[in-house]
Amino acid sequence: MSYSSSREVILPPQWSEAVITIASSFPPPPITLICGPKNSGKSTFSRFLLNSLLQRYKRVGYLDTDVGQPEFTAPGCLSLHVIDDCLSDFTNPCIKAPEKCFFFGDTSSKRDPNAYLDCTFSLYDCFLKEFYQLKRNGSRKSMSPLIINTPGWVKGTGFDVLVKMLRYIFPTHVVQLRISAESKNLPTGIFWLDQHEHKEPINLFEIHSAQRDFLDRSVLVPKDARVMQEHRLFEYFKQCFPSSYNIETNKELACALASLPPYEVAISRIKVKHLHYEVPKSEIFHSLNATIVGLAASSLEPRMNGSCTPWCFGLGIVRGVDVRRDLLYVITPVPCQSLEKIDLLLLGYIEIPIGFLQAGGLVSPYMSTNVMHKLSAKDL
Amino acid sequence: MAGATGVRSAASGLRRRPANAADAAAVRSRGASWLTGDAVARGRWAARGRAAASEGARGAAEELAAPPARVRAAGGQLAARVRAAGEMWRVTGAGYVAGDASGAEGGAGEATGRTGYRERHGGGGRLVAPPSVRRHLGMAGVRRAPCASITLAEPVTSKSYTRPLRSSSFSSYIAATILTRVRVFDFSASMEILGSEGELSSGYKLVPWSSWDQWHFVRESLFSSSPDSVAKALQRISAWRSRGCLPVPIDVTAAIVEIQQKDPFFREGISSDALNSEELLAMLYSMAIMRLVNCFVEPAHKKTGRSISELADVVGIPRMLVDIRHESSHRNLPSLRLVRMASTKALDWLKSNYWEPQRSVIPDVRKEVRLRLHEMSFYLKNKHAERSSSSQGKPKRCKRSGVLMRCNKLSSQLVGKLQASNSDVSDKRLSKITKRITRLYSSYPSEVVAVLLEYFHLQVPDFSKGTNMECSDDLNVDDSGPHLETVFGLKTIITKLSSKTPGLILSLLKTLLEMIEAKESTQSEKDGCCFLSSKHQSEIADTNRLCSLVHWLLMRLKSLKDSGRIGIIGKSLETSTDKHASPNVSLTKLLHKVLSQSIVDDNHLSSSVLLLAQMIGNTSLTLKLKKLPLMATQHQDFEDESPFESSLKKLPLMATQHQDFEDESPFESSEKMLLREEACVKQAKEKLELFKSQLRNRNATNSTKSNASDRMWSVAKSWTPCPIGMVPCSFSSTAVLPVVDEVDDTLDPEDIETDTGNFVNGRVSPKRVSGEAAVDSGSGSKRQRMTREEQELDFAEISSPMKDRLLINGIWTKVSEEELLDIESNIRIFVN
Repeated sequence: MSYSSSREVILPPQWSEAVITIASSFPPPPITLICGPKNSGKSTFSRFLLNSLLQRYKRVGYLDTDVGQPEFTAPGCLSLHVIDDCLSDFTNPCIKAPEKCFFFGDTSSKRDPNAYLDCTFSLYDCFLKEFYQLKRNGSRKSMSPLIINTPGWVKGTGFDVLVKMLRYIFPTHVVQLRISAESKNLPTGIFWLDQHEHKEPINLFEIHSAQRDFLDRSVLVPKDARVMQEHRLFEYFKQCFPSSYNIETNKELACALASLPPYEVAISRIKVKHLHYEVPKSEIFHSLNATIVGLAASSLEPRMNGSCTPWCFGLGIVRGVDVRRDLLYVITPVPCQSLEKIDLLLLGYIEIPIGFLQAGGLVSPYMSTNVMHKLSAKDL
Repeated sequence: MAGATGVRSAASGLRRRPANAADAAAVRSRGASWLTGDAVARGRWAARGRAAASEGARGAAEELAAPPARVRAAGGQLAARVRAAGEMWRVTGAGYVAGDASGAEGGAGEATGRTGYRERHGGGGRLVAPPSVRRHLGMAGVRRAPCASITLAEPVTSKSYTRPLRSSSFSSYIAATILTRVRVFDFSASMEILGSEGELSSGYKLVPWSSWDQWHFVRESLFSSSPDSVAKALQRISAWRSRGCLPVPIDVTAAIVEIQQKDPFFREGISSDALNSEELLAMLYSMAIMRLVNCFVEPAHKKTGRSISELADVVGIPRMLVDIRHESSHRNLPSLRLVRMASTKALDWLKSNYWEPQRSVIPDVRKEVRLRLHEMSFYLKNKHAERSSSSQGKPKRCKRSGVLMRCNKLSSQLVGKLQASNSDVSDKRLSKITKRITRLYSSYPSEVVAVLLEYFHLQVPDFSKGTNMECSDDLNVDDSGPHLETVFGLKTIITKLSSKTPGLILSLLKTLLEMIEAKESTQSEKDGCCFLSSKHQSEIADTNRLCSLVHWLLMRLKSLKDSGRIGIIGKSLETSTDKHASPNVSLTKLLHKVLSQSIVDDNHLSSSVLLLAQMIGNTSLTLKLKKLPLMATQHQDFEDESPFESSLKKLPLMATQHQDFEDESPFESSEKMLLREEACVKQAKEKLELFKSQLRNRNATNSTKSNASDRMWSVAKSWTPCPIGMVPCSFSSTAVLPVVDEVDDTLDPEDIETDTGNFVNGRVSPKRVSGEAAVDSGSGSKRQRMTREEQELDFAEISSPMKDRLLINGIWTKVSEEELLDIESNIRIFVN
């Protein structure tokens, strides 16, 4: 197999077999769900699968349900992408505009599993409707295969969520990645269905994580989730600037963000909603200032089941609030024409990277010295 | 050596404050037992140590107050010892020290930084680890390294550690040992911070509050006896919680307080949200207590594997809480009475282990600034005295009290020395202090401005909240005020500082203008009834002085602008976020701001307006402004005429005509005069009609345009770089903290009156709260015009302040609305 990758890539035979089998499965185009514990190589596998599917298909759907480390969007988002171009860089996340997106507002589904599932199902339905239908009028088939990447939380509630997802989506292929520590793996076999429920054959691949003999080592060192998230947010907000700006470091981005003229929007014409917490109305601006928000249009709600939030158009940073002038200042890479629809700011727990808040001499007031902060929740 | 005496003075300084020494001892003994190598202990410990250390260093420094040379020596000595000791600890504790040390950075910097003393100090004797520490080191499995190579100035044996340190002769030593500990944590950062950043260290952390004042507000309200303020604090914490970076101690405290608020036992009277089920209350309390114990102990438990109760004992969590945690998770639910009692204990523990220690380590910038300013004025005085002494003989000194008396003596010695030796020394010191204040300004602009204005003997209403930080501080340097009592002194200082940081002028201007605005609005609230009261008079005098300072600052701004230290927005296109980039100011916007002050009839303000106009460089604008009735100075001679007549004269249009009349016949009869004035009014009416129709046309075209381009989202027209979470000041490139609290929407009766006269915009804004708001809403609704040439003032913005003035200024009250409209229209025609 050949890739347009700049790196020398060695694929374990088990992986390439699976990829070849999936890619050649036809008809219908395969709907592949990839699951497995953290750091087992799910995203890497999906990237390979994506590239090999693109050899056969013009467009490939990519449903990303890994809210913590999504492939093409910022953390906290659930998104459906339609990719028509091979990935060239396997080590860095690249931000792509999603077809449809929800802002879940957290990096794990644990705060609200039901809302999480609703969002996932909505996105899947959306894919089926738009990209998995035989066109009636012409003979030309425009069905695209779909890759579903899942979070690495496979125990407890995470397992339940995964099972529900599998039962709803009913993929044609399931790839389960397994690591050497057996206790952390998912059960073998078709664990999400009872015995008698087997109606049609499901292609299940249980393959082992590539460990050391694959790609370069950096992919496999246990990733610091926080660093990864900050890196994605960095990439995401870099889009606010033309590529000629050549922003490489956090500090450069922070400086650029500080001096970028933001969008102004009247507070009175905007609704603000926290997705996972009820903030007293009088305190809403204390909660909103200098945070990352999802930009949504309250009019555009998916028709499906109720607990979904409206579609999200992207993320923004509320960089200032001026209650006296009734103005919010928002930085966002969302293009101007989409912004006009946006009248809802969704707050969540996507923490603004501290790198954004320190730009040389310009330090955000939310950065403070002499803080007794030893016992943060992260220490638990 | 000067250093030795310095230490002695530091020690004696501490001796005079036994409470502090005892405190320090307590901290020390407790701190030692915490040296377990886990994050909890380290964090707590560093903070405590730092609190005490800074107290010690400050005690030494402030007892000596004035002669900084001495303070420096003393502090330097301390620092040297601390450093030496720190080295030792580094060796001893090398195995476990590597870890999270960020909390301690500030501490070491704080205690030693101000001294700027960098050399290592040698001496006799040897420092040995206290047995308790050794024990813990042993537990943590750390090999002890030899420490003979590191020495201290004073020999200390391990014995002195074990015995309770009540004797004050050890006080300076205690300070040093505590600093030692702090240094230990600092080590792993492997960064040289001694003397680099000083008391206010770097090491930024993300917090949910935007200023420590907010934190203080929450602390005070949370523990207050009024349920309303508790509710307010809980609401604010809830907003913080939604930001996701709330420190756990605050979280747990809020939880317990909230439960207590629901418990009828703690709430007197009947409240609607009380919870009457004992079972539920007990469960809530147990959960909160469980969380408290786990949050503080679990991380250490995981790391060290020691039992929860053992670790809880180390950090001083009452055993009762640990037992409740155990009972409620593994056995029966504890009784409500028990958990109720425990909840109070838990709050006490949180107070003494988070709220108080945190309070004490919050950098008191105002105090630091005061100290520096005080030093600065001291040197400036010396310089002044030197100069005058050559002509007069002896320098004058004013009478001072308390601490200042002492420093006065010292200062006189110093003066002598300085004069004898070298005046360059004081110059050097002066530039050092200037640098220090400059640095403070760059991180805490509002505080520096507040203190500077404090010295102008003014209350700064917006910053009064901050003063509660000092109320429990026995080392107040508040009384150093007299040093700066002369406005001249203040101005010299501002001049000096602003040549280093030109932005200071802009911040000062902004604060001043806001103060004037605030004063004016409170005055207009009081109405005219207490017009002649002495309070009113003094307030007027106050405002007057503020205005004079505005004028002076503008002159300073002009000179800085001329020398290119302050740029003009719009002219330079650079959007640099560099710290050293020169700040920018928009003169037009500043002019708006000044004009929007409701008391523009003040001499100083009107000359400020003219000065600004000159700086803008638009001569026609200057001329127009000169003609404006705002320039009350030119019209004082009309005082004896009827208000209406004088008002007409003030109208530029009328004024010119008036001029004509006067030219042809200076001594005309009053009848003739009236006739002419009638004619004038008639003419004015005609013009008004014309103008109105023009305005209507324009509005019509505008509205069609604006409907098409009525976009919800638009890119900000002008923007100056400012950190995320702040907004740019309305007229300059300095950043300000945004007002995030809801504005009170209740209408001021006075404002409604104003609005009836406001026909220009066609729409009456209901939220006309202040002059600035009025100007802003005006400019917001008429954006198109803003695209005009920058230097053109557009009339709506001038008319708003005009309108304010007409109504507030007493003289005009009898003018009927129609006449008022006439007057306004004329002004507009003229400006147009």
